[in-house]
Amino acid sequence: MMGSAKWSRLTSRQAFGLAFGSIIITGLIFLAIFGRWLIPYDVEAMHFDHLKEFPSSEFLLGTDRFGRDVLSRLILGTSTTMLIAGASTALATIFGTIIGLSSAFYGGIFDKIAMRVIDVIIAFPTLVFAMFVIGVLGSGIFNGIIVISLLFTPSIARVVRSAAISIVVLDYVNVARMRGERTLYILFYEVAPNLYPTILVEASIRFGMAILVTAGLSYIGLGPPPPAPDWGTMASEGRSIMFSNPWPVFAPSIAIVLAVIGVNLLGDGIGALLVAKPSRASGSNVK
Amino acid sequence: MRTKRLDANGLSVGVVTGFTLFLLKRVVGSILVLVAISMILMGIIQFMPGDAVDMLLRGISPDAVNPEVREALRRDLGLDLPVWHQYWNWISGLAQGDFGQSYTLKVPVGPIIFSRLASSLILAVPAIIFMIVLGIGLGVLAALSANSPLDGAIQLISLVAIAMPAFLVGSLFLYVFAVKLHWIPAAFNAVDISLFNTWETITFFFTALIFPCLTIAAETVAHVLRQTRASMVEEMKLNYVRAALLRGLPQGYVIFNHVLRNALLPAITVIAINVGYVLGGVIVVEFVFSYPGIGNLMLTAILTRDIPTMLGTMLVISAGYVLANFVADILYSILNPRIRLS
Amino acid sequence: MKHNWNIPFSRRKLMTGASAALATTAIYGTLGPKKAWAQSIQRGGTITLSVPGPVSDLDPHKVVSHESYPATFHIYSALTRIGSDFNAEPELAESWSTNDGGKTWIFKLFENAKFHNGRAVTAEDVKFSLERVLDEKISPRGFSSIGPIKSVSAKDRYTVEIELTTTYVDLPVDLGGIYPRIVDRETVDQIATVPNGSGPFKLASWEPTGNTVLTANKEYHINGEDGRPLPYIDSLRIVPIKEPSSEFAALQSGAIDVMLQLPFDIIPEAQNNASINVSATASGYHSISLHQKPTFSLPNDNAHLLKDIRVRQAIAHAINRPALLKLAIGGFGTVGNDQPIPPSHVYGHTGLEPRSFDIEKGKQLLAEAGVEPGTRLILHTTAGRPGLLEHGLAVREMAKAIGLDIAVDAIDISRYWTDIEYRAPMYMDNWGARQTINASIKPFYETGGGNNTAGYSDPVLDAVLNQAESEPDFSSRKALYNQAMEMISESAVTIIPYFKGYYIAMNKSVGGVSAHPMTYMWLDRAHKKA
Repeated sequence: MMGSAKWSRLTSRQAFGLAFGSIIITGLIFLAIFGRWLIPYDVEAMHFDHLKEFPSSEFLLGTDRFGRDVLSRLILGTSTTMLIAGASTALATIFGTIIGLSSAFYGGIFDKIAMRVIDVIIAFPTLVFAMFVIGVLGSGIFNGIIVISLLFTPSIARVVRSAAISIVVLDYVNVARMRGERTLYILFYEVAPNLYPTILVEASIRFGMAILVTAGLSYIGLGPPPPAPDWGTMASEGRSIMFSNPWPVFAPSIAIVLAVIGVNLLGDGIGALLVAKPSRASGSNVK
Repeated sequence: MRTKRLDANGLSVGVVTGFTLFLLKRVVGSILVLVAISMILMGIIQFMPGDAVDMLLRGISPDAVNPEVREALRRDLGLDLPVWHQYWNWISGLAQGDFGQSYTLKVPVGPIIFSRLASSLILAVPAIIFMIVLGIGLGVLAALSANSPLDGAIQLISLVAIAMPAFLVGSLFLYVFAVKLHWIPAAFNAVDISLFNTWETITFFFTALIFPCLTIAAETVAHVLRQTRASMVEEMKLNYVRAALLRGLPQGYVIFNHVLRNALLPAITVIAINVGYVLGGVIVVEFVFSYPGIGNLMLTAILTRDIPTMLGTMLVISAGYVLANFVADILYSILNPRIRLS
Repeated sequence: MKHNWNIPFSRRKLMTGASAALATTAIYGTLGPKKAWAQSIQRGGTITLSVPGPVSDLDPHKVVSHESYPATFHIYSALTRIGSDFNAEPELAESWSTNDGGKTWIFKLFENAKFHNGRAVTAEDVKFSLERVLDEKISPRGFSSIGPIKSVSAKDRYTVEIELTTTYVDLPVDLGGIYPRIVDRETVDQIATVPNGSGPFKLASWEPTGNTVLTANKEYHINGEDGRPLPYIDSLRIVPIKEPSSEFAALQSGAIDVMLQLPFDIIPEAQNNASINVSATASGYHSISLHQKPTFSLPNDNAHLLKDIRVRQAIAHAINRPALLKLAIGGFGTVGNDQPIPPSHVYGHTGLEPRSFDIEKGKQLLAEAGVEPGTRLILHTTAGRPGLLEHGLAVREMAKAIGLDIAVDAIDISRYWTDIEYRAPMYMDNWGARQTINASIKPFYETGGGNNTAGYSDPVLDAVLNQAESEPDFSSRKALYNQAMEMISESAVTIIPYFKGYYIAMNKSVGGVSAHPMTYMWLDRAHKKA
């Protein structure tokens, strides 16, 4: 892979972060895929005699207001959250890269129009717009993925474009053009490989934000409808019994926090590993 | 910072043109963006299932409603008009400052939106100030003590702060301080402010708002912090810094007049972007704390399919964000004239 | 509480606070002697009432959401007021009578009742107001809910004659409901912003989407225990608080005095709190509506199966009603028998047992109907009303025992109203009490009825309901309604496993307030104790 990975570049703190982040993310992906075979109880089973219980040997994280096992729901919630956050990030990355690359490469009218449109979409504060659209069109996994990818695509496009612009003008690209190589080839084999690090870092940040936006929407009631064991929904449902038993709220909340921390650490680590120097105007804090 | 241009006779010409032109371009651009947003909003609403009349007739079997009556009610609200006609009515009203009449409340929407906006600003502005001051301050601190334990601690806290969703922080604050300890009111509009004198009003607002503001600000502080730190660390590596220090200039002077200035440029962009996050965070916090701001107004309007209010609130929120970006752009260009000319 | 409907109502004595609190689980135990009672009522003060959402309508004929009732009921009086025992009490009408068994009614108004602007309330105003409600375009929600009125005429300045299309003994009760409030015919154009009613409170300020403040009407025509006009308090603040836990915290801290709706989760905590009184009554129910003519169906939802009575009864037998009651609403209610009238109601059918919890019977019925184990059905519900989602999820669990796979589809409340209610094959619904027996059954089960959630059509039932509506004799009427209830329960088109309790909570310093089975709240007899 281009953008050589120099392990020596990492400080010990960054290395620790990278390791920690990788462990968390790997764990989450593992749970997301294999979770349904690992859960001790059926996520929908209501144990009428065990309502709102604290953690015990029978129910490791306790039960919620319906008597459902919190641990099982937490594990299965991993796949819902990972699905929405992951799919929207993946879609946004793919489309954002395509748009950003094309914009940088072709320039001209296409570039100008694309940038204007991107300006408009970026002008919407993400969460507000997501609430509006989902409030209007209805909640659900599909709608959530579409809305979040739509909102994240422009930021990725912009980052990719600014990174790509500096490469597209390089000599060896021009040489390839003159050689008559097909555009797609140039884009994919000459330009893109230099962008992997930037794209990866940006995608990891987006992934973290996607998890937070998903959880936020679910909390307000605009997420995948019950009985889906989504983390945000779990936190919202547990809200009213927080006096008597805070576990149904704490467990998914801690899961959210851990997931986002893991993703961010991983992203930082990869960034430090692969990128020579972070560019100023873009990077870790683009919305 | 303005370039002086001289014409053939050596007289300065177009001194102001450069900046004014830039300003004008940006203003026009912002307005165009808002127009585009208004069209997009209107478009999305067309896909909404159910309209205000359905809400009016809810709970009654559709078989039992006279279709003529339903049509008459829709006509009263202008819901039978084609989209472009409704859009035109709305936009031309807006141009005169009229936001239309609420479908559900039968009163003009404009005054409601703006009074709610004022309430939200009471939350948002302190949060933004907090974000800027704390974000830049901690960022500089972390950069100056890079790789030390202090830096590590600051980075760790910011890492966790970014990961904590606003609703979680807000709910925790609410439960601990309002529901359990009764230090802050659990519901703002329940308290009868008219009974307070001036001092009591001030202390009330302060104690009541501190937690919602903290909630909103937490994540944004972390973003600004990280960016400031990163830019400063990069800037300090540059040759001119070492050169200036070698020449004997005091460290404080170098840091604040050169390093910080240059490092702040990307920070301004990040701040502008995070203003957008503050706006989003305000809505979540309003929901959690039952605070009567513009966010709750929008959420209620969506629920009741009150289109004028929905459009009005969304537009105002977006306008606020466009304004923030506009200000950031101008500031950026003042500080960095090179951008202006590109 | 039986009444012989054929005799004219005698001129009632002015209602005292004591008799108003009779039929519900009131917070006062025994009633002391009148003198002591009068002494304990202190005048003055403000009561703050919390409601789940803001007052959004000030026109009583057009009101949509129940959060607006505390405003419209207090600003605008109606001819009668519905008591906690569902009997009509005088409000603007001092007395009423019928000489032909209930087809023509005469209402005599209080002659000293005035609108807030000083003008006297006359029969012309009553005629104007009732005709306004009867106009479907002005009041699409109210026009069919105030009785089978043919015409209203003003016989003299203070006498109104109402002619009905059929004999109907509950007219006085219907005229105390949500919609038929008396408005001033001269100022009706400004009704949406400058209300002019004759109620015990006047509007002081209204923030759309915010607080509403009412002040006492010093010229109110009904007196309190101490011989001076009601209300006892000076002003009433109506405060919307959406989050129930925030609302309760505000009650605990004293920021609010009365909570209109105490959520089931919080009832135990409220009952344990020494500074809070809880008042309870029965009101309403949840139902699983099995629609006979749905407007849509989804793939694999087997909607046609619900037309088979055996399938419906099988589902009804699979439900463990006490467990469901506990799970969905914390046990705060009573077990139901698949029809809408609670046994405690004056027309209630005490002989109708709830369907047994019988898994074997359920499986047997399904087998008879030829339903394979594992057959899928879709139950639509919403989280927008408390208990409905929990109820749906629990039904899913319980149905597994008889081999049915009921998938739960939960959507937000707005789409529920526009897409699901009255349309989907199988869905949860939530209803409050209605003021008359007729309003509680007829619109729900007659062919084409305005609240016929199951799209049910049975000509025999229609005939029974029509006959019962206009039956003047109480015991015959009760027998007819009981017959209807049996038919409804047998058909199992609406599975009603329990009746909900309705709880309110208030600060201990508030007196004269108790839960009303219609979930209405009048605060003109409320007072703050020292």
